[in-house]
Amino acid sequence: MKISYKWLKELVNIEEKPELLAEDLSMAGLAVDNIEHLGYDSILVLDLTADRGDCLSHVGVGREVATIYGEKLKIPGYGKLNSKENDLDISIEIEAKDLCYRYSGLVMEDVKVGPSPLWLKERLESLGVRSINNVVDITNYLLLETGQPLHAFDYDKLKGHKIIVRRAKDEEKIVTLDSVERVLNENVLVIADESQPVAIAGIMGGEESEVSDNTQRILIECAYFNPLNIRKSSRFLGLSTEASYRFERGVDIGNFINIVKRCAWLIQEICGGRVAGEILDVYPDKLEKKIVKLPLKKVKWLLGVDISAEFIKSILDRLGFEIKDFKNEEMEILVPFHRHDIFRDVDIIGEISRIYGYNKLPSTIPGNESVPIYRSLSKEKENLREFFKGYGFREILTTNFVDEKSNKEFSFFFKGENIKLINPLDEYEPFLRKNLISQMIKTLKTNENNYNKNVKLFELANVHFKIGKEYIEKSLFSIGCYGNIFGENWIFKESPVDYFYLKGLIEKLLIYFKLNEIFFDEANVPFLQKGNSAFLKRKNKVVGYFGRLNFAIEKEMKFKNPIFIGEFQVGELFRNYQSEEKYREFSRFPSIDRDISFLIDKNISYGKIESLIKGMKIDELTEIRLLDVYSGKGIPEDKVSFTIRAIFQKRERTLTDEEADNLRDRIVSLLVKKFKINFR
Amino acid sequence: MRPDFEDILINFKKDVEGVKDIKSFKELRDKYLSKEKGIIPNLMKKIKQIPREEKPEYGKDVNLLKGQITNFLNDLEKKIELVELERKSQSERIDISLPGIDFFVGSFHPVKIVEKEICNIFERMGYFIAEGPEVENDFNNFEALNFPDDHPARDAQDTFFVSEDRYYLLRTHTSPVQIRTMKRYGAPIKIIAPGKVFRRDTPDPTHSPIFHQIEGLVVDKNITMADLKGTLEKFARECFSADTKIRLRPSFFPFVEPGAEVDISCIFCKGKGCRICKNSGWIEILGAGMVHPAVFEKCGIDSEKYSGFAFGLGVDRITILKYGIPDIRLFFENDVRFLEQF
Ligand SMILES: [Zn+2]
Repeated sequence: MKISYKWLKELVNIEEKPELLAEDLSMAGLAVDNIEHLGYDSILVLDLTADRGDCLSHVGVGREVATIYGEKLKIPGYGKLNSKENDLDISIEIEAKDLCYRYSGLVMEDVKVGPSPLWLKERLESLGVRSINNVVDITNYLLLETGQPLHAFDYDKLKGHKIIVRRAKDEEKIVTLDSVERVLNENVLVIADESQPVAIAGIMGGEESEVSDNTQRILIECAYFNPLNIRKSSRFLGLSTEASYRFERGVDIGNFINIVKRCAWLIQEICGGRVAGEILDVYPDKLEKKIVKLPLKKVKWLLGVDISAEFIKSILDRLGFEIKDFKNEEMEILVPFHRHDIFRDVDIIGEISRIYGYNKLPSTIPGNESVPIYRSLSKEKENLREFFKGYGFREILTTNFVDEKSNKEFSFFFKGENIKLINPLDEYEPFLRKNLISQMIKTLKTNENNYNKNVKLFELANVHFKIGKEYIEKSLFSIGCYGNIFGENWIFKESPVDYFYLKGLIEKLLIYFKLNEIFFDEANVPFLQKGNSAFLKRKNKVVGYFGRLNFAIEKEMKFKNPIFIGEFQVGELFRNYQSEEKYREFSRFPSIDRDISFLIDKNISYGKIESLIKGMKIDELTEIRLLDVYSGKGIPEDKVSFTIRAIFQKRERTLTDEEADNLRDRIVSLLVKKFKINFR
Repeated sequence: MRPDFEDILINFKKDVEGVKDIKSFKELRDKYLSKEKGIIPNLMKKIKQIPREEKPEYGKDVNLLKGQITNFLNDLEKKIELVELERKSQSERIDISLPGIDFFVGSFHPVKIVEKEICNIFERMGYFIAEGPEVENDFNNFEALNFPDDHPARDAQDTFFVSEDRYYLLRTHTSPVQIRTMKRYGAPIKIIAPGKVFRRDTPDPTHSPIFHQIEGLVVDKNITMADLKGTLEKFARECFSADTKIRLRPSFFPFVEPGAEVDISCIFCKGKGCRICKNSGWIEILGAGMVHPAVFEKCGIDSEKYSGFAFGLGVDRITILKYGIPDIRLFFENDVRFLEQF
């Protein structure tokens, strides 16, 4: 909204320079975006919030200025209208009373259409409105002055001299002022004559009934249309105009007669002509002003500052409110028709506070307590992120929107229905993701393409899907890496990440969080390389997976590095999680190591050996470490050599060598019994 | 002392000159003191062949000789050990200017860093952290927040919908957490709610369809707008710098009244005016206001008894300001060269 500083000064006494005025307006809630200096005038460009339709005019802004500065607003009026000679026939009928609340009109004759006087042209053009002819320019001028859109029809083009405000018929057509043929439907309100629409109500007039150089008789229209309907029609037609913009926000339904008269007077003075009939005013259900009650103590209750009743009264009066009654410290306030944003006491307090000045309020800090709010797993999530950060991983944020393939091929955990956006930004990515891993893989690829080496990433985010009618949100954690564990230098020339790198991290993670029910198992994940990947399980439930990306995918995506990834269900990982830690007594006596080396069939996994030994439940056995794995030269082809170290310790005393030997022998004899092993 | 013993002592002192390291020292010691072949023990053994009357004298002299040599050797050993230690120190010197093991340092995403910093400021003021889902319904996201049915934010142009009837949607702000918290816990409330939000904006340097907000809500008896102002002043000072000022401008949000947009004094030019604050000296960072009674009523809280304030701030925007990031789209590119700077 553009406002002329010069014009504003005609309406209210302003001492302040445009810059200071702009500042003061902004601080009262009418944001001034910038000021255009034209030399002869300054134009304030306002960015108004949607609720302040009343400030889409110079009078509207003038009212605010008058209130801020405590000045009086001078509303422009009209002079004597020449007496009529003829009563021209016209009828106005509102058929769609739900969409048009009031319609006033006045016919004029002997109007000389021509160019506007210079002052009028200049004023319109400085505010970005093109001059058309004197009649149209006057209606536009009044729109900028009062905020009320007016329209002038060529009276002689109105068939039957009738105005019918009705819904358009389906497929009904009209050529609007911009020479575009528009196809309407039943939701669009039109102004029609006897045979056809002559204007799209509140949006744009028709070309056929427009005021042209040959026009001599005109009908001035001043109306109130249902704001929501205008907005919908404007959206439907893809046509937004100065008029529709104002009708959408609601105009002042109470002031029609004055505006019509002022319009007629300006036309008479500028274009000649005279009125040719009475003002027709169709207003079927006269609106009453809203009443709002304001208990004065509520002002302090909400703002935290005392504001005097005198000050409140003067603010409300200048803004156009009427105080109908004031007793028992309660004001009964009538809301003016130009304010469509005031419904209850807090809205009035809003008015008082913005004029009083938000920044004049004192500053206090509430010392209140809250009821405790439970937030699930927040600490665990935080620690999970810290853990991977500590090992050199970097956090990423990826988009929630994916294509069908990402959800179909990479959602390992969740088989629920995809959630599809009705109105996606990118039609190829209309789904909410059900996994994080597909974007982890993409992000690794982006980094590889950008020549980044040794990349380690993680993401913690929510995924979404639907089961039946229920929308489900789950928290996932993904990791991904390629390159070396340590930067290449003279110490570690190469230290490529691999399955055991991830496994080692996850083993430490399980220890760190004391997740001792979780174990590793062979994974069966379509996009992971079989035999190079593992599940994390609790009982039968897969809580996570990790390993090498499937070779076929690596090849298809043209990865140059081996890619290692993993994904975990945060909720499952920490199921029944007890984070309270208790001190446990540790043994103060020395431990004894016993190493055992043996050959065993290749098809027996190390995991089986370890769980067999652990299954013996030897109290003194504190740890088993795998020291060496060897197969190849010097060993039969179907065998593998393991060296394990068993670490024994007693809690209450020093273990003897003999006891340690006996324990080792028990382990050895069980291994011999269960697996055919050869000792070395 | 017997002359032949004197000779032994003279030879011993000559031998000592040849001792350079622990090895030659041990050879020397063995030569004189070794039980089997050592010169001194041999002299001891020879006592049997000495005539009886000379035995006492002989014995005395041997012990004297042994004592002298032993003392000398003990002193020498200490000296040699020092020499050895010095030699070892020299040989095990390393070039301490060589680079160490090249560990990698991880990092958090800058948006998450700032989100945490802001949450911490409010947690210190006694706020609890609350959360809500990203897929919301119309009631929590709009209706209970007093958005009229025809509000433009409800258009498909601005909001992502996930159900045909448009009841389910991606939350457009963190404000629905206000509703969820009030409905579940009632008053009093003092929460901060960080989270992802979604708006149908085409990505450009300042817009992203996915971004992050932090919602604050305080509800109790006697909460005023002055409390809001004081709280935000404290926040601005802690988040930016001790001399940061704030400014409240009246604005409109359906779920607050009075409503405000809040500016901080420009952190780059300290309010003098620069490119970033468009010469105004102020930067807008959040929206705030007093909870609208209609919102309380939707949540079953007595709006005559309780009042409250709410605010919502854009984490991405503050992150951009704090780090001087030129383009919001960098947040979602996840290039390591970007991530490693935080
Ligand atoms: Zn600045």
